[in-house]
Order: sequence, then C-alpha cells, then structure tokens
Amino acid sequence: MSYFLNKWVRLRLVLVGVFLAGLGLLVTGRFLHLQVLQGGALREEAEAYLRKMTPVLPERGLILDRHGAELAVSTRVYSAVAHPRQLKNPQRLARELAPVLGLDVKELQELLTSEQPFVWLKRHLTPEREAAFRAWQERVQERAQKKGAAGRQEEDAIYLLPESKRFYPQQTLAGPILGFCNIDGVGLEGLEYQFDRELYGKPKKVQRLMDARGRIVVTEEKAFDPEVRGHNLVLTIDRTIQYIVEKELAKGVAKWNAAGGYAMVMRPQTGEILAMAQLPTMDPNQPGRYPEVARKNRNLTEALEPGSAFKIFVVASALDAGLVKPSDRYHCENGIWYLTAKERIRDVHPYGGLTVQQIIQKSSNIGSAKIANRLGPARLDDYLRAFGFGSRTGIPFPGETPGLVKNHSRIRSPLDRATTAFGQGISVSVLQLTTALAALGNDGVLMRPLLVKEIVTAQGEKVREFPPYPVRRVLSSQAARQILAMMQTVTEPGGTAAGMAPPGFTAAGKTGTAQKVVGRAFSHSKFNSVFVGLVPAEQPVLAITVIIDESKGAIYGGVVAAPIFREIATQVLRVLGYHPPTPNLPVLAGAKKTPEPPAGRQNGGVTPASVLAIPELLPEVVVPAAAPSPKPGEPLRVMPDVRGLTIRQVLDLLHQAGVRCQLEGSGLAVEQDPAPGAELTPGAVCSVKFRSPL
Amino acid sequence: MFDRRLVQNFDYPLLMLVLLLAGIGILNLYSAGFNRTPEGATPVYLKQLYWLAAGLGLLFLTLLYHYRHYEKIATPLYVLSVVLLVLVMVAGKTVSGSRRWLALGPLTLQPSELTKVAIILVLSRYFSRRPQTAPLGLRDLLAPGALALLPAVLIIKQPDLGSGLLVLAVAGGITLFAGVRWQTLTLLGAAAAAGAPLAWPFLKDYQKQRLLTFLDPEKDPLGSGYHIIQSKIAVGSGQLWGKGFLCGTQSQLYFLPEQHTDFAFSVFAEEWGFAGSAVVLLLYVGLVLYGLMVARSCRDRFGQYLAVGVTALLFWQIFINLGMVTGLVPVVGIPLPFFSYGGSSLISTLLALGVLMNVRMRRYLYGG
Repeated sequence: MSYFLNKWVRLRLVLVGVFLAGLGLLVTGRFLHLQVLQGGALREEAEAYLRKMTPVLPERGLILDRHGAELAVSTRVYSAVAHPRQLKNPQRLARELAPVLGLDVKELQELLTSEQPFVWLKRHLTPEREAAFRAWQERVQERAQKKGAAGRQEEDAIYLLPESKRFYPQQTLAGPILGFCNIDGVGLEGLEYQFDRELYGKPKKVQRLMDARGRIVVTEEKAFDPEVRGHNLVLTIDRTIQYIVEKELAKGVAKWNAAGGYAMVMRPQTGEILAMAQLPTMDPNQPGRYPEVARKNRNLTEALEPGSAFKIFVVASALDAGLVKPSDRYHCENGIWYLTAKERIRDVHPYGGLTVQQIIQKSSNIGSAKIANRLGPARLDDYLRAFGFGSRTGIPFPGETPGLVKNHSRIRSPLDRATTAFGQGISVSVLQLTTALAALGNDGVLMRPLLVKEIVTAQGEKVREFPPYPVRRVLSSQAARQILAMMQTVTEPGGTAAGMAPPGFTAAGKTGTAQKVVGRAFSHSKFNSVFVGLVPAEQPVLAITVIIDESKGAIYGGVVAAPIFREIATQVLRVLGYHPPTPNLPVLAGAKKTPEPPAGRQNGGVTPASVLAIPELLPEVVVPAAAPSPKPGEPLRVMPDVRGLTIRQVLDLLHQAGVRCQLEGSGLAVEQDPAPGAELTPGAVCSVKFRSPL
Repeated sequence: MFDRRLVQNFDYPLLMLVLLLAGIGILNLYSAGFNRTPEGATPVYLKQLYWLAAGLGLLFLTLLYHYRHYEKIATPLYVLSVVLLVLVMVAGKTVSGSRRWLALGPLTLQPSELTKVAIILVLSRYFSRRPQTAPLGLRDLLAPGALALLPAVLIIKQPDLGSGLLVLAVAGGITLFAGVRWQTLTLLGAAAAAGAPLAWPFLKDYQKQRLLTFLDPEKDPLGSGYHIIQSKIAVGSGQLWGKGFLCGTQSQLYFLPEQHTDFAFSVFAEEWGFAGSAVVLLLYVGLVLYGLMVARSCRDRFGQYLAVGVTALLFWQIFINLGMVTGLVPVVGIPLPFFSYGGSSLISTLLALGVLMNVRMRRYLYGG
C-alpha cells in the first residue's frame, strides 16, 4: 500500500509526462518547421512534381484543296516509349513485351537496357498493338494491386506517348505536290517541307498535371492543345480536276508506253494552278517505296526543252514589238535553211512561203528562226525574260528550277542563236511554260503562278492569303489576241493538232516535239511530246500543258500529247460548268439561245455572246441551273440514280441535269446525296462518293 | 459484478478523445482512398468504420471484467501470441515480401498486433508480482528481457523491424517505470551503442537501405528515398492552413506511397496544414498524458503497470509514425493509431485503450 502512495512513483510519472510532452513538442516543432517555415519551398517542390513541363505535341495542320477537300490530314497514333534507367528487370519486361509490341526479344532487351534516359520502343502502333499494350498495362496494374504495391511501379517507365501521324487520304493524288513528312511529322519534301513551319504548329512546353506514376492526369483531348495545332494550307488545286488530269495523263502514258509525263492546268486570269500531275508519281503515305524521280514534283524542279511549243513566245514577242504582222510572209527555204556553210535548220515538211500565222500552224522551224532573227538577240532576251523564262517564278515550293535561257546577245553562232526560236538549247520548267502560256491567254499579262490559296488557322481564321498577282504585262492586248488566233489554227484543219480542240469549244494550242538531251547531246530516239493549249481560244479560261516523256511509236506532240490535252480540256471545262452552245444542251446563263454558231469559224466555236457570259472566276457556279430551259434537252428535274457509274458518266449526267456536284474518292459511284428520284432544285449541289471496285 | 459506480466512473473523457481521433482518422481515410477505390470494392474508410465498430464492441466487452482478471489471462495470451508468431513464420500470408498475416477464414490477423497487448499484460503481471524493494539490476532484467525478446525477435524475423522494436520499446518503457539502476541503465546503453554495428550484418537489405536512406534520402529519390521525400513534400506543402479536404495534390495524385496506412497522416497534414496537424498533435499529447494520469491515479501496481504500458504503446507508435512522416526517424512501418488503416492495429489499439479505461473506471474499486 505504501508503494501506491509512494511520492517518488507519482513524481516519476509526472516527470515521464513532462518528458513525453517534450517529445510531443519536438514533433510539433517538426511539423511547424516543415509546414510553416519550409512550407513555401516544399509547396513549390510539390508543384514541380505535379507540373512537370512536358512538351505539347503539335498536331500538323491539314492540306486542303480549293474546296476544302482533305489532301493531307493528321491522325492520332500512339508510340510505345520507355525510360530504361528506371527499369529494374529489363530482361523480364523484354520477354513480356516483345510479343505485345511485335518486336524481337533480343532487340527489345537491347532497347530496355540502353543507357539512354528515353527510348522509342515502337513508333506509331497499329490499333491492335495499342490495344495489346493497354491490356498489358492492365495486367501490370492487377499484379501490383495483388501485391499491395502502390506508387510508381517500374512498369510505369514504359508507356504510350500520343503522337500525330500524317495521312494522305487521297493516296497518290497530288502526291508529289504535297510531299511528305518524316515519322516525327517534319516535312521533308513538297509543300510539307515548304510550309513546314506553318503546318507544324507552335511546339510549346506546358505545365501538365502528372501523378506519381508519371501519368498525365489531364484528359487525352487536352494532350493536343488546339492552340498548337498547325495552320491549314488551302491549295489552288481542285481535287476533281487533279483527278481528271492524273487519270488522263496516266492513260496517255500507258497508251504510248512512255517513260513518264507531265500535265498542268492553270487559270490564265489568276495564275492559279488547278491541277499538276506527273508520272511516275508517288503515294506520300509510303514515300520510301518510291524512287526520287517519283517523289520530286518535276513540274517545277525539272528543266525540259520545250521544242516547237516555244515558237509561240518568239512569234508573240515579234508581234508585240510590231516587227511582224500575222499576214507577213516568210520564205521557208523548202525545208533546209543554211545559216552558214555548215550550219543549217530543217523543217519536218518543206515549205515555201508561209504567213506568220502559217508558221505557227505548220510549226516551221525555219520561219520561226527568221522571225527570231528579225527580233534580234537583245530584244529576244528581253522578251523571254519578261515571259519569266530563265528565272524562278517564285512559287513557294522547294527546288524550283530557273531553267536555262541563253544570253542571245553574247552568242556568236547564228545556229545557236536561232535554235531558241523552236525551243532547242533552252530549257524551261512545265510551270514556267504554263505560266507564260497563261499570259498569252490573259490579254498579255503574266500572272504569278499560285499553288497555295491561303493559310488559315485550325479555327479557320485567315493567316495569309495569296491573291492573284499580275507580275507584268508582257504583250499588248493586240499581240495576245493575234497569237491566240494563230494558235487556234493549230487545232483547226491544216494545223499540227487538227481536231484537238475539246468538242464544242475552240482551242488555241501549239505542238512540240523536243529531242531529249542525253548527256551533252540531243538524243535521236528519246523525245518529249509537248502540247500547250488555251481554251476557249477567244477568251481562255484554262491554260493546259501536257508533255509525254519518251513515248514509243509516235513522238509528235500533235499525235501524242494533244489528244490528252483534248480529254483533259473537255472534262475540266465540264467540271467547271462551261458548256459549249450545242443545240441539245441549255446555254450559258444570260446568253440567249443561238440556234447556230456564227459562220466564219471552221469549228463550231463558242458564240461571242456566250463567251462573254463565261463565269471566269466562278467555276463553282453552274450556269444553266440559273435559268433552266424548258426546251428540249431540258435539265433533269429528278435526281438520277448514279450508283455504279464511273466519274465521267456521273459528271455527264449531272451536268446535263444542271447540278453541281462534289465528288469524293475514285472508281465507281457507291453513294449519292440526294437519293435517286429526289426532286432537284435549280442550282442544287449533290455529293457522290466513289470507291474503286476491288 | 456490475456496479452502478462503473457507469458513474466511466471514463467519458477518454472515450470522447478516442471517438474524436477515430472520427478524424476515418475522415482522413476517406480522403486518402478517394479517387482510388477500385469499382465494386468497399472503400477503405468504410472498412475502417466496420473495424472501429467491432473494436468498440470488444472494448466494452472487456470493460465488463475487472482488469484484475487480466492478470490471469496475461500468460495464456502471451503464449498464444508467441504460438501465433511461430505459426506465421510457417504458414503466414506473404504480402510485399513479409510474412505478417495469418489467414483466419475470410479475416487476416496480424499476430504482432496481439503481441503488443500481450507484452503489456505479461510484463505488468511480472513486475507487479515482484516484490518492490530496490531498482532493478542487470540480473533482474534477465527474465523480463527474455519475455520481451522472444516475441520481438520472432516479429523482426518476419521481417517487421518496426513492430519488433516497438514491442521492445514498450517493454523498455514498463521496465523503466519499474525502476532500473542507473549503473545498469548506463551499462545497457553503452552495450547497445557498441552492439549496434554488430547487428548490421543481420539486417535485411531493405532494412539497411531504409537506414541509409534516412541518413540521405536524396541519394535515391525515386527508390527507397521516395517515401521520405514525398511525405515531407506532402506535409510541407500543406503549409499553415492546408490545401483543403480532398484537395491534397500529392496524395490525390498518388505521389504519396502507403497513404492509407503508414503515411496516412501525410495526407492529413497536406490537406489540413499545420493548423489541423497541431490540433491532432494536441489530442495525441492529451491522450498520452491522460494515460499517465490514469497510472498516477491508480492504486494498485498491476493497474499502474497496465496504464503505463498502454501509454508507452500509444506514445511510441504516435511518436515513431509522426517522426517517420516528417523525416525525423527512419521509415520502419509503424502505423499511427486511429489514422492508419488496418483492422488488427485498430483493434489492438482499442483493446489497449480498453485496458486504460478499465483501470480508470475502477480506480476507486478494490477487488473484483
């Protein structure tokens, strides 16, 4: 009993209490220290853990055709990545993951044991592999939960990184124009390269909420900040026209068993390139599968000899200088003209006296050489440079060639001076040729060629516009009209491309057959067959160049290239809503129906009235629909069933109906809107989807 | 047997203190488990609530018996716990590399928790029966030392260094209260200091790692230092007023490891700041001092030893856990009473507090 009241025991308890309270104070002091004194610093440290600066992956902008059809898009893909240094059991993980990712165990093990802080295990996983990887992550999670482990697992050092992958839904369509990107979404060729900065977007680092397992806490959608989306590129290219041009060029190349070909369609009034095709071409989805020759946009990068097609520029220059008149006669030396004792120029067919017009129509080398002589080397140089030959057009595209134009004033040899007159010894790009051709059709004013119409933000705001830009007047209106009239005779009976105007239209054209330069000499077996043309001749709405490279069988531009021109012109005019004033079809808006084209033209051309009514810069407006004629051949009033038809058939049918259409895909029509039988209102727009039958 | 005075003398303040702490602890578990409860699973806080209810039921049940009866069950309980510890070594359930749990049907039992109570009972019985003559010498310490070391070594072997040392610490607390000679104390202290390096080779790798990490947590911030660093950051970033309930970023975003068990208080400190932490610390200090007060007011030696033992148990757990959370002591895996999730831990804590209440409410009663 005495013990319980033992004061010493009670005092001891008090002392212990004081001691423990002291320890309590110590702990309290520690909390005070951490939370109040160091609190600010530790909170900052906490935020640093939370908001690790992580790069926002920019999503590359779209490339669209002039009507907004998608030519290049970005899709979301995932790549498997790892931080090897954080792994404890790379061997086990390699065995586990190799089948998931479809990699070799050894290969994966090497990656996972690498000294690098970060490695790509597999870029751009297929959806199946991605799903397999996510399933693996779930298995890991379950395993961790079973073990009761929390916090960061070593497996968290292997994860999926969202990336954006370039996809070209139209496949080869406009492939060499678009170019392509590397796996990191950096443009390497074509427009992808030229406008890489605009398309790439602003890469920026942002603070991102991360959890302790290193996972980003924000939703997936935020991983792609719309602010860093690249700009969209809107081209002047019209997908439908591009399709037509590529198809017809391919047909021509196949027909002539040629090595390749070039074709370009331009709006003379604006310089807008509506289509630019080449063969061989490429699918930018798989650039590695194609040789460099297919990957380069050779319409711009390749300098070719234009051959006789070049005569129009020499003659136009002489006309503008007032040195010749269309009716002036030149003696064409019956086929062989000796400039000196050794140097001579030959014509394919011997001619005696030819008018300037006939020199173009018959394509006399001797005649044009004489006209070039009349012009003189200095003036010839000035004119050719004014047309833009020998210098880059400045089109925003990588690798544009300036071509090669001789400095005629410094050339002593009369032959070397003279050959330029028929396009030998000079080289031009298809782009230069088409641009200069367009100037003839644009009242003599050279426009800057346009491939990109505008750059817009992902939200659609305009960033930059490329409006039509007149570079200079090269020819007087009169000279331009004169040369067009001469060129029209080329497609008329007696011309080198007789009958090559699109049916119902006139065309001003010029043929050319250029010996290819092989090494340093002209080849006698390899030719470029050239045709340049403007339709309709009186007031051109299209400038078209077609070149077939090394055709077999026939070589003449009028035989090889001109029919392709004709096909392209026919279809493109139709797509753009231009109709020849044939009696069976309604005429253009505002134009009174004329029973017959006026006499005086050998070919049934466009009547002057209807020519004036051509909606030059508004190709989307389908003219007949504005005032549907109730006469015979009246437009269809119900939507026809177009399913199963080819693009051409659909276009024919719908243009008859006066319906503007939007086409998608290629092959046979599989879907249409409105449905068959639906009533059509004037000016209706219908969309048709095509799929190539397998 | 049941006395009206028991109701009168019932320890309401202690019960209120316990309920308050348990309530805060469960609220905190709600936050710690927030966002991370797998679908269909019972949230941790709810499970803890069930355990609390069960523990309180057990507590009231033990209150029906005079604590004097504990003297009788002390030895059997001690033997039982040692047997269970041996059983765990043989047939225990391994979680995270340690065999600490015994599966009893759907329940799992952690025998080391039972040992904490058993050691208090058995030592209280031992010292209260020993004639109190003079402070204990080295020879007098042999028997109680053996009693404490046997289960402690078994627990450390599991391996669970923290709980093993806790058993020794509680035993040490009771022994010190019984009175040890200064010379003996000095001798033991010197021996421990000299022997510590000898113990090093017997430690498990992860235990060595923890000790090294404690000395320099930045050495391996993503590995073994991770716990300490993250916990310090979480606690510190709570600052004075905290980030608010459910708003602790470190905890809600999984940075904190073991946040519903050993590091539960980090969650609390992050969300409630120093203000909240200080309140809880005050409650804990109150609880410990209350325990000493109970011992002081007790009039029989056995009760006194019991109260001191329970107080030592509570104190060491609170002190070590909070020290761990704030980086004052190495990470040893000691749960914080009322805050850390764990049925065995909560029940053993409540049983221990039941002992304390028992002693308190029967302070005026003699016999049974």
